[in-house]
Parts: sequence; C-alpha cells; structure tokens
Amino acid sequence: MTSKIQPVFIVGTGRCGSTMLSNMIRDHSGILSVSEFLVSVTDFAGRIAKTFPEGRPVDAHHVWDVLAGFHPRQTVMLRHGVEMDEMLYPLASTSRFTRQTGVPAILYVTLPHLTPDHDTLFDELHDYVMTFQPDLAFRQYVRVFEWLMARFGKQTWVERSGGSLRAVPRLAKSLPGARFIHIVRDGRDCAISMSKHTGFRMMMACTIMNQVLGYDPYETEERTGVEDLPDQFYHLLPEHFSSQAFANLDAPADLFGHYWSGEMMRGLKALDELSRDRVLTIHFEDILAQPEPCLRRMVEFIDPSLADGGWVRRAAGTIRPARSSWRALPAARQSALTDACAPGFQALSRYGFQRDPDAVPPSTPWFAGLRQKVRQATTLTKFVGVRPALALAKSRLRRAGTAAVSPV
Amino acid sequence: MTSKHFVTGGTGFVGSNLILELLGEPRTEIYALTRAAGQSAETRLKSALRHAARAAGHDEALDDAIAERCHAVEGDIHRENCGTSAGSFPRPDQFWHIAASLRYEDRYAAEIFKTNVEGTRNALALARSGGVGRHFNYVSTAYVSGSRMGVIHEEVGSGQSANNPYEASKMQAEALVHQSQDLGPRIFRPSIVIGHSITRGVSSGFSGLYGFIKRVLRLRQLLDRIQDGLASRAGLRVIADPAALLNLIPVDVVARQMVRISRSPSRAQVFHITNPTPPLAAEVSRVIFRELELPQPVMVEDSSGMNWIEQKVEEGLGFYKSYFRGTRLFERENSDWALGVSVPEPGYRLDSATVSEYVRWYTDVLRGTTDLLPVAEAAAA
Repeated sequence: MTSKIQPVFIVGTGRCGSTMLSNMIRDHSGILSVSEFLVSVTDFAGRIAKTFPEGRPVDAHHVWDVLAGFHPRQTVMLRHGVEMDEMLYPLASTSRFTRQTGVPAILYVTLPHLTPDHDTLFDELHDYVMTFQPDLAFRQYVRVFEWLMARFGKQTWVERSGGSLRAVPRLAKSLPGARFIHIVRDGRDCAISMSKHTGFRMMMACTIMNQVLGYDPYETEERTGVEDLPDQFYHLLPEHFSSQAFANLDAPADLFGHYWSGEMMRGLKALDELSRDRVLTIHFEDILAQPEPCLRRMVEFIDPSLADGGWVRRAAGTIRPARSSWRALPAARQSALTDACAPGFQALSRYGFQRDPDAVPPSTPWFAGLRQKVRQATTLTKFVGVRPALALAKSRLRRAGTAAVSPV
Repeated sequence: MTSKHFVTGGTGFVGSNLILELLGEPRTEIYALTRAAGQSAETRLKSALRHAARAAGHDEALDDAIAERCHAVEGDIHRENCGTSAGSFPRPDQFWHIAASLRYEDRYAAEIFKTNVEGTRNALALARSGGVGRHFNYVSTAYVSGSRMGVIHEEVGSGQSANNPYEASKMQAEALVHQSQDLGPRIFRPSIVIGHSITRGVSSGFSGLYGFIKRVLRLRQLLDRIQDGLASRAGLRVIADPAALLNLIPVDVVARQMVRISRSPSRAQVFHITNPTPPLAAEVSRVIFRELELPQPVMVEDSSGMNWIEQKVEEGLGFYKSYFRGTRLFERENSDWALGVSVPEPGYRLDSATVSEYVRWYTDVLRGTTDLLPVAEAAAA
C-alpha cells in the first residue's frame, strides 16, 4: 500500500445526487471511482461491526469474506427480485452468479462499475487479497482500492456510497488523512427519493425490525418476541420475505424526512470536528445549476494536479434535471415533509451550509464568498441568536486558519 | 390430610405463583404437567419455581418444599390426554388448568386455538379419565368480555364479540369447561396480571402491561435511531378514553384469591379476580412515558390529524389499544362472597408512585439485559 494518497470519500445522506458524481468520476483519466463499496460490503449498514471490527486485525480470509460474501439482506432481496436500481451485475441465467446463487457483495456495483470484465477482475482481486497479512480492516480495504487504482492506471481513488455520511466518524478515526466531499441536497427531495428506493426501504425496514425485536433477524436464527412484529414486518423476515410485502411497506417520505434530519445533524457535527481542509461541501442543486465551477472545485479538492478542463466540460454535459421535487406535492404533504426536515435544515444553518432554495449560484468566486458569508451570518443569527452566532463564527475562524475551503 | 393438586402451566407466570401459594399449606402435594424442553421436566419445573420464589421475595427455605412436594408429570397439553395417563399421578383434589398461549395476533390464530381450545379439551379429558376430587379450576381472563363495556358480570357469556383470536379462544375454552359439569368446574378470570405486590418482581412471561411498556420503549429507541433526540421532541397524540380504567392486579393477589376461593364452599362457577379500585389508564400511561423519558402523550378521541409516526404508534399498540378505550367494571360478587372479604387488599392500591415502581422494576430488568440499548450498540456490548 502506498501511503502518499490521501483517501477521499464522497459522503451524503443518500439520494443526494452522489451516484451521478461516481459516474462522472469514472470517466476521469486519473481518478478511480470506487462506487457503493461501503453500502455493499456492509449489507445496507447491517454488518458494520463485522466489516470494521475496531482495533482488531483481520486476515485475508476475513477480508475476502466481507468483499465476496453473499450477504443476507442482499441475497434475500435478490431471490425475490427486489434489487436496487444501482445494481450493475448482469443477472442473466448464463452469468457466473444468479439470483439463486446470490452475488458477491463487491460484484453488485463496485467491480462492474469499473469494467465489463468484472468476473475476471473478481478472480484477480481474490488472488491479491489472499496475499494480505493481518492488519486493521480499513487498511486492508485501502489496499484493495490502491490495487484497483494501479490495475486501471489511475493516480488516486475516490469512494462514494449512498448514505455514507453516517460513516464519517469511523472513517475519520480509522484513516486520519481521509478527506470528505459532502454532497448536500434539499432534505425534502432526498426523503421523497428514499421512500421509493429499494435500498433505503430495506434499511428502514431492518432498522424497525431490529428495534422491535432487539436483535437482527438477518444475522441470527433467534426469534424471541417475533409476535411483537406488525404483520407488514413479519413478512420481511428472511424466512417469510415477500416481494409484495416489501412493495407494500408503509415507509413514506415523512419518515425519511426525520431520518434525513438525523443523518444531517450527526453528519455535520462529525464533519465540523475535522479541520476545514479535510471537508468540501457542495450542494446538489448548485451542481445542477452551475456544474462546471462545482466540478472544478471538486477535482481541485481531490488532487489539484488532476484538474482537467476537458473532463469538466464532458461531465457537466451529462447532467440531467432531477426527476422529482417536493414542490410537486400537495400543500399538506409539503408542510409535513418540511416539518420532518426542519431539524436538518436548522443543523445546516447552524454549521453555515444552509442554501437559499431559490438561489442561483453566482459565477464569480469573490462574490460567491461574500454572498455566502452574509447568508450564513443571517441564517445562523436567526436560528441561534446573535451572541452564540458571533461566538461560533469566531471559533470557526480560529480553527479554519489559512486552510478554509469555502462551501459553494 | 394431604391435599393433592394437579397443575398445567406450572412453569408460567401465574401458574408458578399459584404453586407457591399452594405450598403455603404444609400438607399439599403438587403434580405439575411439564414439557421436557431442552432439559428434563423435573429440572424445568423446579428451576422455574425457584426463580418464581426469588421474584416473590421468598428465601431458600421454600426450596425444600419445592424439592419435596412438587413433582413433574412429563406431558404436553397439545397431545391427547396431555401426553400422559391418569395412572402417572395420584387422583387430585383440585385440577388447575392454567397453561395457555398469550399470543393474540391473527397470524398465530391456529396456534392460539390449538393451545387454548384443544389444550383445554385435552386437559378436561385427562381430568375426566383420572377423576377429580373436588373441582376442575380453569384460569381464563377477564377480557373474555371482548368488546363489551360497562358492568361485566361473573357468568359464562354468550354473544359478545372478541377483539382478537386470544379472546375468542378463551371464550371457546370457557364454554368447554362450563359444559363439563361432571368435573365441578370453576372459572377464574384474572384481569391484567402484574408483578408481586411487595417485590414488584416477575419471574417469566412479560406480557400484558410489560408488553405495552416494551412496545413504548421500542418506539422510543426507534425514534432515536431514526433521528437523535426525536423521541424526546416528538409529543405524541394517542387515542384514549380519559376515563378508561386499567385493571391491573398483582400476581400474588391473584394466586392467593384463587387458592382461597378453591377452598371455599362457594357454589358459584365464575370468579372475577380483578382489581375493584383500578387506576386510570391515562395515569398509568403517563407514568410509563415519564419513566421512559418520553414527553407526556396527548389523549385524543380519534385519529384525525395524526402524523405518520402517531398512526404507526396507533397500529403498533395493537392488542393493548383496547385497554385504553372504554370502561369495563368487573363485578366481583362471587369472588368477594367466596373470599369473605372484609379487610381491604393492600395489593389493590396502585397509585402513581406504586405504578412507577412496577415500571422501574421492569426497565431495570431490560437494562440488565442490554435491551435498552440500540441494537447496534447492544451487539457490540
């Protein structure tokens, strides 16, 4: 493993437009795009403890079991035909892996995202991983990324997984040099999208089942207290899973609005504890409105030597408008969803990242910075009062030093 | 003269406390139908009884009585003649059929009817084949009243509608027992049985009030899992009748009254083992929410204007909802006559401070088993 490369993770609450960035980065000549690694190997965040055992070295077999395992949530869903839209592995009857066999975690998205010859790559990766000596889990996964980076002739790598904002404390602690690009999208649009997304619906269903039962029914055969599960969740237990029950799962946007707020509150707090040069915050709406400055800023943050005007123009040309907007909802639902997202918006204001939803980003960096600072000061004062806002601003200036990265 | 009792459900919450109460009479022998599940029937029974004795505040002195005067009869109420024969135990003076399924969900209906109706049929057959000296005592539930409100009489009812398969199964089982007049049937109907009146302890079977507490607790954990602090910010509206009474009664009071009635000359056949001075359901829920550090719920009449979380809470309370809707007044004429009650029962007194103690006892148990932790943290603990 080379130690010169500073890991970069694109993080967000999920359904915030970050998949689009992975697809753009894949076409950059110098950056390896590692897509959906964290979400796949943790089986929708259900296997975080197993994937990243803290302070304990893991050997080659453990690493391969994480990368190539047939993880229970993904496998059950696959067998019932409810995989995520993002899945790239071809589920043909002639494929090496099928719905019946299950698909190794890293073959769901990560390897097919890089090459159509993903099965060969999978075998090569196996041979490489088997050479690993015991080491901390994160270091082992960084070895995998760096091997892939070399394999595809790139100079650096960027990992991006849906909903990985919650992983920031663990990533920052385990990889002290790690830096983060935080993609922020209006929580109301995120929540609507999550409520329709297979992966988020499964994650929410598992969260609810785990809390009702007090254990994870996808990781144990224990079934104590299963009578407490409401019917709709009973039919999502692995042994009773029904695609119809999954389709009927009542998980509305309001619920995900609360979830988005929670993720934002926790994620912003974690990012705020890092030095400013380790974090770049970009609003998804700004990427849509003014893609080129946003993409330039992103690449400069990843590695200034990889700035590439041609790539920026090509990537900007692939941007398509968002498919849904909270503004299309009836007024009562808009109001309920806005209420659910309010704590998240307040957190964004508190940390200086609230975006005026009607704003069009200015084109000059000087004006952008001034306008942003005025807006931050106004919103911060509105939510926390004048004195705390002044105190917070002073503290942030002290910590930022000379390395501040202005949010878009 | 030695009195002999045959008991089904002796390892359960009410059954084990009934046996402890029976053992208070020195010349009593207990024969308890017990399944051998993972260990011998004898070991299972005595372990459950010792555990119940500790929860009830008895010291080891009672263990000798358990060892010497309690005998397991291996069997299972799901099998014909309960999987045993009348020759495998002496003819009892009293036959106590307590074993039951406490599940109530539609999806378990077949299992509930198999245990509660067919199990009762098997218990009656066993009692009939061996004979019963005095009475066949069946422990039912006060909630066979189903959807009926107002004064509930001590009589085998008909025509009332059940709220769930559990209530329906107990109604059918009562009818079977009532038809068996040759066995001198008596039907005991406890209300919501809670822990011991002195220790607050429960040895097994955290259903009823405890199931409700656990559901509220899980709700709190779930809200906090979705968003830190959401549970403490989200004031909930719940549909409840402010005048509804929650008929809670401690397990030792239930056991004591059933045993005393069984020894009485009463010719009545149905006895409400209920609390004549129950607390308000709204007050109990206020105590539970306070103990679980949740904002006080707002009682409303219907679901109009409820948000998604409140609707889910409403659905999630399931079985327990009926506790909070409408008022049932359980008549106790037969029970009080048989008991000859003149001294107030201290266990009836369930003010807010006492209910807090019951709730705290249970939340302490949950803390001890990491159940109060979010799942991810509990897994790492």
